[in-house]
Amino acid sequence: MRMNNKIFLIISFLICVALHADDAKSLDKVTLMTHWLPQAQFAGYYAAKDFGIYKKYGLDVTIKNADPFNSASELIKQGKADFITLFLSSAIKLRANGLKLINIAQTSQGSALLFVAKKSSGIQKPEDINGRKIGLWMSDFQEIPQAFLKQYKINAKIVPIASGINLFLWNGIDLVTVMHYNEFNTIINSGIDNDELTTFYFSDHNLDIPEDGIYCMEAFYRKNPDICRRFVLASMEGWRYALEHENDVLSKLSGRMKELHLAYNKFHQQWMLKKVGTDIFRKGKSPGALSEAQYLKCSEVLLKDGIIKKVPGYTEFHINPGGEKNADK
Amino acid sequence: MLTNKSLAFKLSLYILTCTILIFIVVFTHNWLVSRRLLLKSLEDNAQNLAISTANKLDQFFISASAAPSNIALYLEISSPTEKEILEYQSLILKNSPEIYGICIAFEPYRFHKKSLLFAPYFYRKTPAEIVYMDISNDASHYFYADWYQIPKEINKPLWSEPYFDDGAGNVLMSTYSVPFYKNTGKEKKFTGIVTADISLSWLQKQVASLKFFKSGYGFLISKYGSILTFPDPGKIMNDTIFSMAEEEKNPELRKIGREMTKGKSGFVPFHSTLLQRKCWMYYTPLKTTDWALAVVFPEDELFAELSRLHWNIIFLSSCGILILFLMIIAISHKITSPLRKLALLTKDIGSGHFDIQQLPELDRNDEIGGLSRAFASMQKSLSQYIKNLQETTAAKERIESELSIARDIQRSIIPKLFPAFPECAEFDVYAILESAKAVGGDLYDFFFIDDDHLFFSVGDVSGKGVPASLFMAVTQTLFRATAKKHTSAGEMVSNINKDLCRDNEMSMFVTYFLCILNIRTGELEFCNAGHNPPYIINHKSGELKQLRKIHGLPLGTFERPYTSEKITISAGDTIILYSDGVTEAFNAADEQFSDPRLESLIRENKNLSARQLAELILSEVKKFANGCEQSDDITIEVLTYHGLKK
Repeated sequence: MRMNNKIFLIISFLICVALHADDAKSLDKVTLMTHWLPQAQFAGYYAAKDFGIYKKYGLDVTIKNADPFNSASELIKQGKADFITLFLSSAIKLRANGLKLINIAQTSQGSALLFVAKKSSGIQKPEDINGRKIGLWMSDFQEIPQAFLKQYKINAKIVPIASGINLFLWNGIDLVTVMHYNEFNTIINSGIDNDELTTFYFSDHNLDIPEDGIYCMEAFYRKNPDICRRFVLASMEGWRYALEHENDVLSKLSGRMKELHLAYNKFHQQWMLKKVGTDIFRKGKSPGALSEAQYLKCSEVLLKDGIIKKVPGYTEFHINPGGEKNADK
Repeated sequence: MLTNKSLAFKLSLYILTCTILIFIVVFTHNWLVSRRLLLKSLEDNAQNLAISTANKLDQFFISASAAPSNIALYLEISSPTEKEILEYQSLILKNSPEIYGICIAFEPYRFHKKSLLFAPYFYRKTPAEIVYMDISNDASHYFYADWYQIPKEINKPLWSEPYFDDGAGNVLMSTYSVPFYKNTGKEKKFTGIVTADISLSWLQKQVASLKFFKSGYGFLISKYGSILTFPDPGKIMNDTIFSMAEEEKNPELRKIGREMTKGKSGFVPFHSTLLQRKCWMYYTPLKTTDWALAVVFPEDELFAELSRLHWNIIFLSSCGILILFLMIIAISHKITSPLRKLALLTKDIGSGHFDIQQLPELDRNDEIGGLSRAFASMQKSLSQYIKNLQETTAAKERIESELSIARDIQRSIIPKLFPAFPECAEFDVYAILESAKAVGGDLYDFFFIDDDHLFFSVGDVSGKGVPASLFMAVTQTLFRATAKKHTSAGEMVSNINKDLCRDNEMSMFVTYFLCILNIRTGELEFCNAGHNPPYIINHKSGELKQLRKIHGLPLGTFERPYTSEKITISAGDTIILYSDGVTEAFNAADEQFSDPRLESLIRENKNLSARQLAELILSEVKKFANGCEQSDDITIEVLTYHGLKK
């Protein structure tokens, strides 16, 4: 009797191990590198991972994050990531400069970038920026702010900053680049009222260039089109899930942020998730698609500013394995 | 509603209502004033507590900032070797227990021409163990850290916002950064930053040790509102006072936050989400750091003593009011008991017992005594009055009984027996007198003057009652007494009028109609002295006519001769005499029975016997009056002539 029990237990254990091994084997292991530190800006990817959506699509995704000193593009170049998220402008620049990146989903559909100045600094219009100190992120996000400065022929002193707004708050710089869904709210939450700020939303200055998208190397896509398709589909589903299960997703996110000792403020992250979510699922736009018009507009800005010499082909740059092409061309 | 309640009740109600109102006013005033005083004194206490704590913290920050300032000065005026720097740095840290770590971070190539970075860092791994590391070895890119970049850009030392020092100190900290410069002949060249880190957990302990009542707390915020210490450690670094205001949807808190970050102080009420109730907050800036300290205490704890005191007052006052209530009840009972006694006695007196002698409280000098005495006097007057009334009533009763006798006498004067002359077949006579008052002024009469002549008459004396009836008796007696002496009716009336006029000081008069019927011939002589003209029914022709002729004024007015006239009536003819009580009978609508109505009544019933006709007229008049009071005597006399039967 005792013997039989032992045999039964051993057989059960072996079956479990076998099944588990089989399960693991059937998932495709990939790595995603977000282009900034963990925050609600990437809530869809975290939701897809934390709530089993990637797994449902046969993917075992490891999510890493870039930081101010280690850009996502550098890391994909080094082969440390299969997928990265990136600003459209940065991606076109990299592609034109020879890095064979392709856009497999354009999540952001509009610009959330802006310059902020304190009204007390006397800055009210773009010309007032001349000769002032502007804080610009040192890694991948500089193209559009630079385009803004060129558009108005502004000669200002650029102060590279890593992240945050403290230098701006302390008046170490006169203007700072911020994302509306993130740092802008942080400024408000530092006790400065909206009416004490001058804002230059780039979208109001003919620079409504969409931002975040999902990228991979062209070679990787050629080799694994199905993985790319599943990754995009699962990521978009993750975004929908995140918007519908805000509290669950944010609670997981808080764990990730606290692990990295980042300041986590639920209210702020909630705000960010709503803003980013609204941008992804805009009325009349098909989520994840990059229209040729959007692409060409961004490329022309880069071309005009001399950031790129030649516009890479749209069809080579954007493949949307997870959805349809945007209607507006 | 209150009118039905007893005096005692009303008295208690009014006095108690006033007392309670006064109590409420005094209590509320007392509550508000003591609350204000308490709040003022608490504000002072809170201010003292906050300021002394702030001073203590300032002392700490002064002491903590002294070390990096001294090192910066040292580096500016001398050029020490790496070894010297490290020795000095570790020595200073060892002697500055409030400092968690000290770093000297140089600009690229500014320490060694050959090496890009140099940033030696000493920190306390444990309170006793100081550890060294060069943070430039780590890929942390210190040039972009707030503690380095901000003082470099603004050329001023500063305390940083709270942050977690990842990879180096590995604790939540704030850093005091002092930029230092080297003179290169022309200008001062920025060379690096010296920092002193303080662990926020130490600060948290300092602020947490502040005790404000039972559950009050303190917290510290940075220049831009970041939470530096808080009872809920989860808020530290993650929240700002403004994000909390946003999350709680509390614009007041944002306002307070802005005041705090502007370096102001104040004492304000606010809702603490942490304590879930209304609180008061005193905030004050720290002089050394641009930070602000707030002390928060719940209002209910603040006012706990005051509340207890006021509950005591309410309890004692309630007891007092209850006692007052009982006293008022007792006193008002005592005051009103003579009144109640008096009321009972009044009831007795009212029911006729005037002889009650025991009136209460007559010897008192207050209102009750006055009332009692007035009542006694009233009782006396009443008693006297009743006595008089009894006498008067007795007199009245006597008069009434005499009047009754007079009435009987009057009634006895007029013939009342019918049929009056049963042996006479020649005629039939019937008469009714219905007096309006006990003794009437009407009269009728019939009697034989001789064997052939029947005297019959109707009269109406002016006025009513005893005088009228006496006058009537005189008149009737005179006629009876003198009827036989006279030859004609006119003469008879003239003579009697003369008698009546004589000594008629009362100016009374009587209307009179008299007939003398020869029962054998049917000759009828009549004289009308101002009386209602009688009706006569002609049996043969069925005609009804009125004997309209008036032969003179009523008797007793003027002395003057009266005439008479004669007619002959036939067998079957009927003569109807009446007084004005018939035609002038009123009904409820103030209408008179009237001549036409009487005339048509007679015409319709001309074949009735004398008795039937007389009774019918009376019943019709009564029917007409329909219960209305009879204002005048009613007299009806009907004579039917049958003629001589052979």
